[in-house]
Amino acid sequence: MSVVTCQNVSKQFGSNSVLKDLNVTIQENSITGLIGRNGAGKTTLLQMLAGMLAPTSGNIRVFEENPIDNLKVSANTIFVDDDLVFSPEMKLYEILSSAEMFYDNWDSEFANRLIRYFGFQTGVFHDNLSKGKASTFNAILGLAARTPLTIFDEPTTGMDYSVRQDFYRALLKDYMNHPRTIIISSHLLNELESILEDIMIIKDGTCIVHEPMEDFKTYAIALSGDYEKIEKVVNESRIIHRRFISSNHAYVVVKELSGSEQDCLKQLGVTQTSVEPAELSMYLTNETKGGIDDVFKQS
Amino acid sequence: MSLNSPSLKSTVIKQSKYKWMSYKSAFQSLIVVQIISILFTLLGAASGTSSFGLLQLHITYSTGDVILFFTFIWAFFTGLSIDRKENRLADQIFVTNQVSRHLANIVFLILINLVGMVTLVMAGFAIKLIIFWYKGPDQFLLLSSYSTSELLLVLGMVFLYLTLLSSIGYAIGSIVRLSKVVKVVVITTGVALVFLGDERVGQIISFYGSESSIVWFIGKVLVSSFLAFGLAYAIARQSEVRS
Repeated sequence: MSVVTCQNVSKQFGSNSVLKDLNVTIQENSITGLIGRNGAGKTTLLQMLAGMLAPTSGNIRVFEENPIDNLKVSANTIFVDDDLVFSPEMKLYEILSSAEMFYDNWDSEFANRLIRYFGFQTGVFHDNLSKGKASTFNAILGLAARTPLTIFDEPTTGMDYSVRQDFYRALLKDYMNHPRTIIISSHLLNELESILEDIMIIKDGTCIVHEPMEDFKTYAIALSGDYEKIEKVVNESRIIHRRFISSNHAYVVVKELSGSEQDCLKQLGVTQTSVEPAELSMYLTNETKGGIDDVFKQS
Repeated sequence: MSLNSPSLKSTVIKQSKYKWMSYKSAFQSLIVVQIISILFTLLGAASGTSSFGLLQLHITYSTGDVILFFTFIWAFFTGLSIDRKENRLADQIFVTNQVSRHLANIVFLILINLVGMVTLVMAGFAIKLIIFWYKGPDQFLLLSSYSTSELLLVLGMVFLYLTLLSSIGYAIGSIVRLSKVVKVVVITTGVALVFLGDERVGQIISFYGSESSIVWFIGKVLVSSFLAFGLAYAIARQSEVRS
């Protein structure tokens, strides 16, 4: 069953077009990583799934219903980012007891164990937490709510390295015990890679990749050798990333090659290596094929 | 994972409970406002002295009007601020939709107005007690007495006025949140009308205040409050939730 369906979804803020004709389907019980640069439209998409924003055009279905102003979607979805606005009059224990009241699947024992592990004093106000601590608390809320659709929008902002690792591990372990649909957004794939089942990359408001992580590992191949030779075999439009190591020696990342193309390149002396998913996701979301080096190029 | 389908009623009850935790300042401000108004009443009691030959009569009047006025203003501003953006975002973290949020706001306003009603009448008694302690039993003290039915009538009237004012505050709150321009226009017009003593303001007040029939008064207040809450809901529906 698909939990989320987006058909031709566009969103504009004034004259700024944030999402363009987006088509996405997310299946039940999966962990999907939503990867994109700042301003790619990740948050807008996730807020629309949580019913916080309405699309300018197109159709969004969550649990086969329109998420806007929908009690059922709200009861089965939690949206967590580093910027949740809690009442300044509530202490952490009150926030936790409210969550228990609202979410039927809330596991208060699990929440309390996480609260103790991460060293929270529950008698303090959320406003008084540091940035990283606030993110950690929000993430605990998202985990313990165990809603059928759990949305984390850049949840690890401000967390230090070890807390991030702990969070990803807790997420994966809890997901295995209680399978549900989880979407987690990040501008980096690096640390997320090991827990994801599916990856979705958005760039300039459109979805450019959406496939299982296993397939993504073989999505592209890196070629290293004489650029003129590479150019003979591989069409310019298929190049994802290009970096010149010397004047004619280049490192080029291209989308999947056919068997004959691979043989041909081998004969021309071009080395072929696999590309790490994290590296590939960075190249895919880059604005230009050459990266920052293009800025320094004198033409 | 099976899906939960909460009813509107259960959600409204949960949200109303949540508001008692997330909006304690409504209650705290009520207490502060009434303590201040008790002090004002004690300080500002009118007094007069008359002499009849050898007999000198000193009379001190105190009325509960100041507390009433302060509590009415409190009810108006509580209604005005309950649906402000921070509160809406705090609601949105948990289970909610627009209908449940507005209903929970209204339930919360009604409950806190009941509290305000009780503490207001109690503050009136507190003033009498304080004067009694202060003056001592050897001075004459003239207290107007209440029968139970009169007390209930006062409680009922106070509650209806508080509900009316908080519903008007709620409606104005939703109007001023439309845009910054609207906010400035509404505040300027409101302040100008009140300070210029525009006769329409007087007409509105006497529409409720001069009503001699209790049934008509209850009818007027309930219909007006219902319309004000309805207007607020209709306006708030127009805007997107987190924009």
